[in-house]
Amino acid sequence: MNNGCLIFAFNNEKIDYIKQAKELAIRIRKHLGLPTSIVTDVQITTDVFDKIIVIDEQFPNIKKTYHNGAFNERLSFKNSARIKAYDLTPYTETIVLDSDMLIANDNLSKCFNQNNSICMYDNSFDICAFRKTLEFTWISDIGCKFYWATCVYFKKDKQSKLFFDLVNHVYENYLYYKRLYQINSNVYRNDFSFSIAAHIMNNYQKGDFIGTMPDTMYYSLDTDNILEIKQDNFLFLTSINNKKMLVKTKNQTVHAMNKYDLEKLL
Amino acid sequence: MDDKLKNALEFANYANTLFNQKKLIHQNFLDACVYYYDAGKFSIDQQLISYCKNCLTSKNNILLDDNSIPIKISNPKQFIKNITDIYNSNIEDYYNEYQNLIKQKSVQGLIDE
Repeated sequence: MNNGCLIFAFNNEKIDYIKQAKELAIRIRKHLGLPTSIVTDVQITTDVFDKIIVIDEQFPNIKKTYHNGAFNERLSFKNSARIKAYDLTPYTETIVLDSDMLIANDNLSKCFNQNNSICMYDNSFDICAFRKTLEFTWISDIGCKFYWATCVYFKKDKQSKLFFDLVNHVYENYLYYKRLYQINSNVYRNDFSFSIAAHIMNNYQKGDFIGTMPDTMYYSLDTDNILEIKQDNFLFLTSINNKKMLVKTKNQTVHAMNKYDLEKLL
Repeated sequence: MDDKLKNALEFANYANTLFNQKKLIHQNFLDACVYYYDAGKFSIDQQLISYCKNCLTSKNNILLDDNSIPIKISNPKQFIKNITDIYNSNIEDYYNEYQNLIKQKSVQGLIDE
């Protein structure tokens, strides 16, 4: 029985996801005491990872708008390898994480104390509490509950194998499911395929196939700026209705979506 | 800008930031109070502690967890001690954080705190 974390990191024209992954692996070791493996498409030499899994992935030509506060640009978005997490993980129990997570406490280690095969966040907390972001509650106006693929815990067992096979099926038939669930976004998101798979595994009902995570997912949007990363304290400049507000988090794990600031500060 | 309006807006900005920081530390406190026992998830609060101290015995030793799953508590004494310790430690941190926050009378103070 071995537990660990898995990070998918594929650099694009501007964003160095591998650099983020290295920093995250160090934080995982410090707070969760777990080894981390990375899945990437280039050879890297570093001792922060337990295993470096290089895959030859042919990504579809998808561009996504990346925000850096008020600035934005279109860049390649290579996110589809995540659906292979079940086959690629070297661990019996795994936490898959986005490289832009800033781990600042040991709450995630509690995942290993429960019995569910898969756990995902459906409860999230915008660090700017005044914003109402329904897009992280439902996948669309008539769609199902939103689950974050940003951080997924799973055991290697029959149930999670079924689940990941289904996620693969949703990915392969994404145009159909996008129409069925009336998803407005043109960009494929793992959050959507994981949420749809969870809905199907619950027999298209509200159910408990997906377990709850031990805490709340805190997130800052990519339109926010990250001003400071001082050990486990982070300072953000958020905006709501064109008004700016400073937010400080202390010892709270945050999904910080502004990749530009993150890279600058790491 | 009129000074009265400017002062009011400055205060509103401070009040907003304070409110937001309060919500963050409260949520952090709630997250820290999650305790797992025999794969059951328990969000420790005053009600749970009170109920356990009054009703949880070696005979009546089944509790409903956060997901409405019945969990048998094989060692009620130890369970009560654990949840009480976790709660007390976290609420003390929360209290200290809260007191530090409300002492600050400017946005800069809230952020530097």
